[in-house]
Amino acid sequence: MISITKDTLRQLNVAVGKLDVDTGEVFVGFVGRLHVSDGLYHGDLRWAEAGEDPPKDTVSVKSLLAPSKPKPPSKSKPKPPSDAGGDIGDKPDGDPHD
Amino acid sequence: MAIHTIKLGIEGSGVSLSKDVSYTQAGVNLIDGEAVANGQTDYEINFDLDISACVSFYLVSDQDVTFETNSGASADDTIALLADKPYVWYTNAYDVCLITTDITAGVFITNASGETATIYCVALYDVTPA
Repeated sequence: MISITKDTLRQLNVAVGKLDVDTGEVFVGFVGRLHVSDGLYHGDLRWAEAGEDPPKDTVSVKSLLAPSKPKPPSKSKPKPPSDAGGDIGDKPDGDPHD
Repeated sequence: MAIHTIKLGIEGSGVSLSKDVSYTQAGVNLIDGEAVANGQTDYEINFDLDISACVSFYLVSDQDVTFETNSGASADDTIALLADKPYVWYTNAYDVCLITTDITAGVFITNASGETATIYCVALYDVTPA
């Protein structure tokens, strides 16, 4: 059982009849229904054997289902306050504790 | 004038009751067995309804479908219809109508049931509301 948005459902409907490069089978479609509680379509994906004459059009159903990934958090060090002066990594001139 | 009768009943546990709820009005809007193929997203059907003038509303599909009003992308009202389980509302019903906004731009059906769905909607309304 998967849960998808209507936009994803629309994309999956376009993919029906195409050869799924991830499974090597023909994508038959999504079967399910809307759940008002979360506004998502819950159901299952269906494939069929490609047979001897598989469709030439291909699709990656897996990629259609992949949620848009959020940008990873920046690994750069936080910038010092603008009034700190100097470049990042520079040691301050003279350490008061020295 | 049209007379629409909604039949409400119960059978079970030794109880057998059937009650008719009838209304008579001149205005009728129908979706008369519209077939919506599996895999349709936001299939548009021409249908309009002044909900404030509506006195009875009956909506049924033989497959699970989504029924949306006025827009598929940003619907005013959405009903997740279950196969062969009608949505029924009438004047003096105990619940508020799920259709809250006048239907002026059609209805939109999304069918991911795996089968062709046949949709019926029967609305009776007052053509001269106060």
